[in-house]
Amino acid sequence: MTLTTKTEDEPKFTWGTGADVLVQSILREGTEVIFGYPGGAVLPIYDALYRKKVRHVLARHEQGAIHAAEGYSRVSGKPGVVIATSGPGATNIVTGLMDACIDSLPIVVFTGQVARPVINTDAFQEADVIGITAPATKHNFQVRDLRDLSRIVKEAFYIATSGRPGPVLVDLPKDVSAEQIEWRSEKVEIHLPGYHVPGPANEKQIHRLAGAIERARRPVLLAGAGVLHAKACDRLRLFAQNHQLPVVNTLLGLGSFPTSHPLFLGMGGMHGTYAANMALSECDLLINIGSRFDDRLTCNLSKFATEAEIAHVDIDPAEIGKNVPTKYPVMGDAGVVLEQLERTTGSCKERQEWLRHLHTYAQQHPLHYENRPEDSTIPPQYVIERIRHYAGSDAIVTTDVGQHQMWTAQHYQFEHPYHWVSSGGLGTMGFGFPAAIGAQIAEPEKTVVAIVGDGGFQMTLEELAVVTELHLPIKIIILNNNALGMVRQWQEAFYEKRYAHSIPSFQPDFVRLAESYGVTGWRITERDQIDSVLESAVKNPDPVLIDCRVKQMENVFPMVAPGKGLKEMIGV
Amino acid sequence: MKRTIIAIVSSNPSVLGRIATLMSRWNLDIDCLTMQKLGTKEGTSDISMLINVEEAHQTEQLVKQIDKLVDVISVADMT
Repeated sequence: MTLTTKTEDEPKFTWGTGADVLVQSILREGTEVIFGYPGGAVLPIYDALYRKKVRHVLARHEQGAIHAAEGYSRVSGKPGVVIATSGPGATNIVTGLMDACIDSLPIVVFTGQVARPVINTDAFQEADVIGITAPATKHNFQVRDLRDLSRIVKEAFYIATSGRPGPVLVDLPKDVSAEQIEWRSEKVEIHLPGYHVPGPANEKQIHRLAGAIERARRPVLLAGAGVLHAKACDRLRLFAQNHQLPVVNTLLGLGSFPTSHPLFLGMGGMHGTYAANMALSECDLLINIGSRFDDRLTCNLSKFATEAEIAHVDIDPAEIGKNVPTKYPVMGDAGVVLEQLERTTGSCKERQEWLRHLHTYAQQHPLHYENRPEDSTIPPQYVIERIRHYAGSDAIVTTDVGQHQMWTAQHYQFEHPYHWVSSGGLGTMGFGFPAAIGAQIAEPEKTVVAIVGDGGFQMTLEELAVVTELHLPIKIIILNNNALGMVRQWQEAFYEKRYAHSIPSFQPDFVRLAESYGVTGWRITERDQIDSVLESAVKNPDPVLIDCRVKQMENVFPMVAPGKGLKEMIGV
Repeated sequence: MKRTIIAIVSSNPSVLGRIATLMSRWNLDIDCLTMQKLGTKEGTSDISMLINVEEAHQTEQLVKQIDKLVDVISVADMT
């Protein structure tokens, strides 16, 4: 029996299953696509999806499903919705949950569970999903009573998307989703007495920070992904321009401020630009908007921004003061706070000297790498520059984790928000390619480029089947150095070149692998092939995989070594 | 130093586990813990914990983390 759609005015009583209630509730939240994988405990849910003809992307592994949902969410700003079965289906999504948790992505996951009477009997495909995922989610629920289901779904979406976004999991026993219920399609009220979303920031805090900005001689704005979540990029640009504030991005904040803007100093942190890191080190006021002072950004905390007063704007009060003592705490949404600050901040001190000083750093120590045309090997950074040339600033770029990720962050020159998708906090290898699937589904008309390494790609390459099945014209570019490059770089630098298990003796033929999945595969081994292959790939309306052989021993520079401060960069 | 943390929480079977997970992550022993349903308001319970921390800053951060839990209605260091 199926549920009829509700009419807005008069509540209608209809018979359906718990799964019908679930699907109806998911659709009510505006869900356009679900990423998932069926299994025993979610059979009633898949039956309901079948009846409702909901758009569902069949991943080939649950981890692929959740990374695709993350990519979808990062690009669209909408919650990514995932369904997985009980037991292994649920445990396979844990990496994605943790990834979304640390990178603040709104994901709502529905897992099947064994039937209520057999929970806690070690039943087939049973796992304590609530226990396992509690520290990897913003919140999780187990539905024990079907009458609670539509409220729980509404609460799950609300928690996932409000405040600091994050993943929420709803665990649904099979007998609940199979149970028949007379269901009334009426307005559902949420009841979350322990959950509060901050409103506008305290005016006193705003006034104190505005005063500090007016007085500062050497201020710097550090913009993180919180600016993107708040959809506050225009406000950030205006605020920086109006008050002549130089801007540094975190890895995940890239795109929130145009790279070509004269106030932009680049990414800060372990592989950031010299100018960005010197700005963070020499500033007298550091205004962090929507970043969580991650250790890859701060490096040695005792040497971080030692000359600065710290201001931290964050929607999550637990982030303020967590890593760095904060003189000007401001709790609130980045967009609302920027608007409040814009209204409150008066004329500022003259900063031309400070800006000139930073500009000199940028001029004298730009990002660089060795690129000699006579060399037979291809520098990976050069390939990224050529991808940028052909795909342009309007392409959406996803990456995996490792050297290629850092080179892309350094050299792609992001101009627009929501065009950069990467795994920051958790550093999840295997993220980039499935994330590109979600990104392409969110933006079907845009060029989507997945820049991956040969290591990470092999972790989730089974999703090539999805690319062919849905005909997603993603351009997968493997920067293939036949090494786990970042591991190898650290072994070279800190373990006296003992390359323990970082240079595999075998790798597949990626071109034939792609072709076996029905994806066009090309290989670049010579420098003079780069332009023609990349140009053809970008113009090609079909999915393309490019196995680009690059210099194996190339390192990511500049770099701040572990334990060092931002001022102590090597390879500048 | 000894600190007393008191939380008002939604009464449900997972709430104590969530708080205990945080304590474990923070590597904090609980010297004493009591939990009881509040007679004054249905669906809410009171959790009182005595913990031993090295510095006050730790408790401040811990209280913020506990407060982030959706099932926690309010929490404070009542020492």
